[in-house]
Amino acid sequence: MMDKILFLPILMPLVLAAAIFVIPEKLRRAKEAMAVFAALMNLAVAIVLFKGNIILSLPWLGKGLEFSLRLYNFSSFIIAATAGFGFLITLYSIMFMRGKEYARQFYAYLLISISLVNGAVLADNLLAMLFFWEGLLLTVFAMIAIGGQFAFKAATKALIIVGITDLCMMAGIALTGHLAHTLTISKISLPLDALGSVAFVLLIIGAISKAGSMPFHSWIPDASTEAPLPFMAFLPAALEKLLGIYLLARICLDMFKLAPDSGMSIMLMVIGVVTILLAVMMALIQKDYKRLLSYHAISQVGYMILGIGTAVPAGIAGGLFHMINHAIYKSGLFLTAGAVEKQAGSTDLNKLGGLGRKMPVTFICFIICAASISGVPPFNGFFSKELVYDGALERGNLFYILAVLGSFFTAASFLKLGHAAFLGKSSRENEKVKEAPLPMLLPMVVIASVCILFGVYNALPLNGLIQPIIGTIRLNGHNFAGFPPNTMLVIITLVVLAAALLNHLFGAKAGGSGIKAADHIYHAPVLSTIYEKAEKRIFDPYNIGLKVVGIFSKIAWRLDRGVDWLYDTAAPKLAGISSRAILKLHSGSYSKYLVWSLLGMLIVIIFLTHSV
Amino acid sequence: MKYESMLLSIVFVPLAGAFVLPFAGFISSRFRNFLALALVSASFIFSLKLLPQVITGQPVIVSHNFLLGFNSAFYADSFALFMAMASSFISAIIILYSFGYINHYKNQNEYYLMVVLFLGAMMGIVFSGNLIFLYIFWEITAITSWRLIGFFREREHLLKADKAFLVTVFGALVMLLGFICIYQQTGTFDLKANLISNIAVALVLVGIFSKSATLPFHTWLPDAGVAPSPVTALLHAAILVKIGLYVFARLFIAVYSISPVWHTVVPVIAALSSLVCAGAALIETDLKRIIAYSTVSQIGFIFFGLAIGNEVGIIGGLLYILMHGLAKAGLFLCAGIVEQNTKVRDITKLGGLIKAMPVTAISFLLCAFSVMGIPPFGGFFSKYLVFSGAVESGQLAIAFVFLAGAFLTIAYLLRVFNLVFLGQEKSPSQKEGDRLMVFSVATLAVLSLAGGIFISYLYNFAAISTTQMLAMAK
Amino acid sequence: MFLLFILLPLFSLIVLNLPFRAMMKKAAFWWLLVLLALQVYLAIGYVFGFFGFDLNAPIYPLSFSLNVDNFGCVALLSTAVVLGAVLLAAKYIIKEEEKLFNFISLLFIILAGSNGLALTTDIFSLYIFIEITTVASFILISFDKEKLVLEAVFKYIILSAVATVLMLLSIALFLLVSGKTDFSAIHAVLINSPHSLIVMFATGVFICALFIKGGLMPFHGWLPDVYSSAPAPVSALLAGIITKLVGIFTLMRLLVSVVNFDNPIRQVILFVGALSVVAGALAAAGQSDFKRMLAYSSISQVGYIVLGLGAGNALGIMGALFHLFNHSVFKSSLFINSAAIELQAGTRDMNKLGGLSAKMPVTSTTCLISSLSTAGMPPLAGFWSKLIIVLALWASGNYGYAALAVIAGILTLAYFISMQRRVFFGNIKEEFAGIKEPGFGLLLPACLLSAITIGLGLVFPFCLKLLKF
Repeated sequence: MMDKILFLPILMPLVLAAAIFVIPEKLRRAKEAMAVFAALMNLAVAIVLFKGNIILSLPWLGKGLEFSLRLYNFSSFIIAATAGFGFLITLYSIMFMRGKEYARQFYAYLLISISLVNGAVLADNLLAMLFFWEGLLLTVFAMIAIGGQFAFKAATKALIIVGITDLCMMAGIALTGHLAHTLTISKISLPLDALGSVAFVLLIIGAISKAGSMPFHSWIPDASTEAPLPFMAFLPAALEKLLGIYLLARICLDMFKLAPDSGMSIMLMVIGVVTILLAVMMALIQKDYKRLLSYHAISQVGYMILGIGTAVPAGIAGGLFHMINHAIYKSGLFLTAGAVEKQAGSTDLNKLGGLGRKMPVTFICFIICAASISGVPPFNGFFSKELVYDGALERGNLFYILAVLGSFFTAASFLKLGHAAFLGKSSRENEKVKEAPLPMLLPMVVIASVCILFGVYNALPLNGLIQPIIGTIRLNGHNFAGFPPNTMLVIITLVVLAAALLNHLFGAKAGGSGIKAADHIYHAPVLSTIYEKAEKRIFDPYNIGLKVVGIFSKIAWRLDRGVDWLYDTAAPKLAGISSRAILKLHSGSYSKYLVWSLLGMLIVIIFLTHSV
Repeated sequence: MKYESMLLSIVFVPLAGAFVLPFAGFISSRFRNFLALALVSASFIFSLKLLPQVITGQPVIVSHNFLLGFNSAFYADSFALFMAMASSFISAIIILYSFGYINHYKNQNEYYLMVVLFLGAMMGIVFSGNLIFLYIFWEITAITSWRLIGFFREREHLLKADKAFLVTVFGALVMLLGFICIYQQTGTFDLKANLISNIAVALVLVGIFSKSATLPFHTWLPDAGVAPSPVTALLHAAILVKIGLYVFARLFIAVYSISPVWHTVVPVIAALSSLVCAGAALIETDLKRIIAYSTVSQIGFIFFGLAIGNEVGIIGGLLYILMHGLAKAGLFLCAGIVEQNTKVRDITKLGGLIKAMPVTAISFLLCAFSVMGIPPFGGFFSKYLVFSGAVESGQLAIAFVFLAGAFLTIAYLLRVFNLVFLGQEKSPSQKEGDRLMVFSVATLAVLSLAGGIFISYLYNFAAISTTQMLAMAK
Repeated sequence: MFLLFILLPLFSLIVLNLPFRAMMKKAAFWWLLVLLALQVYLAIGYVFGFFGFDLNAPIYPLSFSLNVDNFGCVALLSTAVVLGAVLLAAKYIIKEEEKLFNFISLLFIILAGSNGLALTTDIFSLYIFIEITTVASFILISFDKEKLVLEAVFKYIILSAVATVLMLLSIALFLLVSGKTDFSAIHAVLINSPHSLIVMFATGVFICALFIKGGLMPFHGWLPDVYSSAPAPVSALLAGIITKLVGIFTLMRLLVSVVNFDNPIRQVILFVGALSVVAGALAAAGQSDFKRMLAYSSISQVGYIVLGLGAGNALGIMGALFHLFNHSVFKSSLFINSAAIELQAGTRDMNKLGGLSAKMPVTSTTCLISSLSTAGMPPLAGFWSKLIIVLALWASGNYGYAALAVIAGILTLAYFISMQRRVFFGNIKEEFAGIKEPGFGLLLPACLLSAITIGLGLVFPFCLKLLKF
């Protein structure tokens, strides 16, 4: 009976979400209370299940396919993280979504997403995992679409991109199921031969697109300005990264045993590095608080993919650790953006300025989270990045150099953001801006303190959560807790951070204000042309895809009209010509008929007599 | 004996009852409507009653010896019952919908006569035990669909109806030649398992492709969009296109064994047809024509599932038929509500209808998700099973072509939903559709969802039918 | 005993035309109706073997003997059915007493002639009965004495005169070769006669003469003008039975029981049949006049009968016979419908008509049933006869002709649907808004014939074993 408890994290949020839909409007604050209660219950269940080890398997689709769920340290850790973020975001959005038209739907979809993520994480059968995984498509589409009247364009873009990659994953799962003759994840272990690598690539496409890495990233910046902010803080910032990297880890560690020297690991590392650099270069020139953060969300995923891609214990540990750290400070940064949007009314950096004095708590939380994302010691970001650098260095200097360059730009862009938004002179409109209300501040403070906790005392997350996941054989003796051993790496990081500070000061003095700090990079000779093209979305794979589909559908349309022409015009005209030809013969003069009959008879006679 | 009479009543209750409807219409339209619904649900209930007997593996056979080489009249195994129940259930919902839709127009008696006759003929095909009966009921559906497409009597609609009639009858005549070929090779018109030549298969395939609208013969289906929308729902989702698929499965999987070359030829044709029509659906602007193109494209999928030949693929194909039937009927009926309220068919002139018709919009979206194959809807499982069947049989290249088809499906269905329901309100003060119509649309959407959640029961039913079919072919 | 089939109509003709005609005038209609009903009963009775006594008992005083077999019964049955329908239609269409009486007496002659044709066993009386029937049809066609009709009849007379001469020539040659006139006797001689050249020549000439009479494609010149301009009941009669009986039935009789039916003749028959099927259908597709379209359509359907005949095996002949009966039923029903339209709407030009089904439901339904049956759509009788013909063609090995026969069905369907669309199916045109159903007299025959078509279609598979031949 004990294993039926695994249904709780999946079904309970669903039931409570349905309750939220049903609650009458006139009960003031009822739906907010229900939402918080549901998030709290989910957190309680997560804590109860923490570090549990239960397996449930029910007959579902014939012999090969059972509906099996498995709770073990990795999945319980992700469920706990999801529950934690879910609770904080719900608490935060009570104030943020007050008075918004679609608040009821937002809370319900939030809870449905939590239940789907729980389902996907618990699932031990690839098909069941895909069942919950693709279900997220619906809630992502719905939550973006309720952001505003024209938000559906961004929602459609998100659904198409993630939908296509999920279909690739479906094909991958079908192939893996065929190769391994079973779909239970714990039983699958395949070599990376020809077909194996095709399956591997298809599954990877699904995982990294959910995590939001480079080729499939372009819906996140568009959604950031359209969708309600708590959605951005919850799903793209935290949940999808957790889920995507969770699957990536299970693929590389459990299912396919990625070897360090294999081509696939190089592919992964290249994707990681490219994502880091291109996304952060784009982030540097953004003029909107939320778009800047969304580009950073994409670039940080690059670190995680690079880490796991190295297939080296240090790199994997770094990748997983960075996954949890990023989820923490990225949602923290989005919450600060929410506070600024709520109080100052806009997230356009030109309009903001000098908010530090008016919103001190938000400013402090921003500083802590920005520092940890840039990898400033002693915050958590620094430690996980060091592990990733250690892994990257082990595999090749080029990867390490590009990774460090990435963190240089990260630091530069956050200095620009902090300067433009919180320091500098405050403009007239936000004179009377005051601090955000308490329920919005509390989550920010909690997240900031966790940043510090996971940084200073990083043995807790590493020994408690991440290293047991990787397993002792893979770790072969390393223990990554405590201060990174390779001091040379630490020095280089500090030098890079100092260079970023200098570059910011130089840029700010040259440009005259915080926002212009990065303009000298923006107008650099080679970069400026690339930036123009990028602004006009030329490199956006979604637009390239749309063009290709457009051309194909025109060809298909003409082909279809061609086939239709056969029926609509060719056949009737042919019949018409032949019938007119026959009718022309009937001139009405009996002499002609007589000739026809005699001629016919002649032929018949000749034919008969000839054949005798 | 009880089962034989039940089997005969599944076929002949709607067939004979249909001719009573016009007279019932003189008494009162409400009586006629409910009589029509009763006739259709009668065949559903009877087939439900037959299920326990047939599921255990003994088919119900009604035989009578005619000369001219055939004697088994009707044959019911679980595959036939699966199709019969799917079609009669969806047509019952469609008839319920047409109570609200048709009462705005004249010659309703003919409409109900033809719809119930249509379903009776479909039951005839599903249960017929010999090629001649199969052909007879096949042509009756052609006649009824001709009258139904031409329901609005405008000249331009009649041209489309004639085109549909001529193309399907041409296919049927070529198929008749195929049947005669089979008769010459096997000596009887009965469905008896043996090997048949490639010419016979090719001739019969022409008929099947013309009826279930695959590439070279598909253009009559989008043109049939001019018919009233319950009729297009019947044609596209519930019955007409399912006939071709059923006959393909019955002849080339259950009864006759054909050379394995067809396991690649049919998927290639199906792939071509599904890609071309998916592309065309992206360009088309008429609401019902887009959904029609999507039907042709999804049928390519089902053919792919059935033609692969391994068990998983066939189960996937069967489930796909059911799920596609439910979802596509929902899409068409929503299109009917939109068209009846706004009197506009061009999607570029529609917009923002979600505020005026929330239930219709949500049902449309849910059914669209099921067609796209997104969980938790039924379409997801059927698409997955077809893919895993394809991968198992080693046809990776064609599987990836169908993957591209699936991408296009998501693109064009979302395009339609956005242009019609979201965005800026173009036509002012629209109101929600008639209560009964909205109810039937909502039930279809909920059923698509339920199909996904309670997939294991449906899967078992399809699996038993497939094992029985493959056993019969040995 | 069955001599009565011929004597009774002649005798009643004489009695009716005796001096004190006034009283007889009203009885004539019912007299003929009773006679036809008796004939139907006898024909069906014979086929299903109701009677004990043998109809074939010869009546000694007369030298030539008549013989009833299944061939004859089918001919008798279809003659009776078509004549009955035409009689009912004529009663409604021809209003004046006097003209109706003349029409009925001419029908008596036609009845006598066709019965004789169906039952004769020797070649010379075959010729006599053909002449009786064709001459009577000349008079019937020119019944209304309009200019257009006379011109058409003139063409018909010229061509059938030529055919008659050819027939006489071939009969003379057969007499020369075999010395006898009886079918079986000639057959016995012809089978192994040495001078096959003359025999083949005679057969060729005879066949072409019958082609002209039957109106098959290269020889059909007269048919469309005669059918479209003849008065309505007469064109129904002609298309229904006379042309087929005179032309095709005699051809069947000739091929089966007189000449040895070997391959070259089969090729000729098949080619001519196929040519008329396709060309007839294509010509019909181009028509805008309703009756003229029906004329070409009947050429095409007669082509099907000949194709069945050309297959050469027993199944083919059975199919041809069955299609002959079917065609006479639904073709006369179509002509009666065209008469109804002409009476009510005043025009036969299909492009002017439109949407009549709303106002004339019965006519449009019967017309729909008959046209679908002509096109060979399943539940109706036309499908079964076409199926048997195609099966026979396929069994006898000429796959090409079988495929052509099936695919030509689509052409037939095409012109019938375009007729349906232009005349019945669409929205009604304003000038026909006031139109209403024709009288009961015209609807009854149409409904009866359609009932036969549907009934035969549904019952056929079960009663297949009974048609022994």
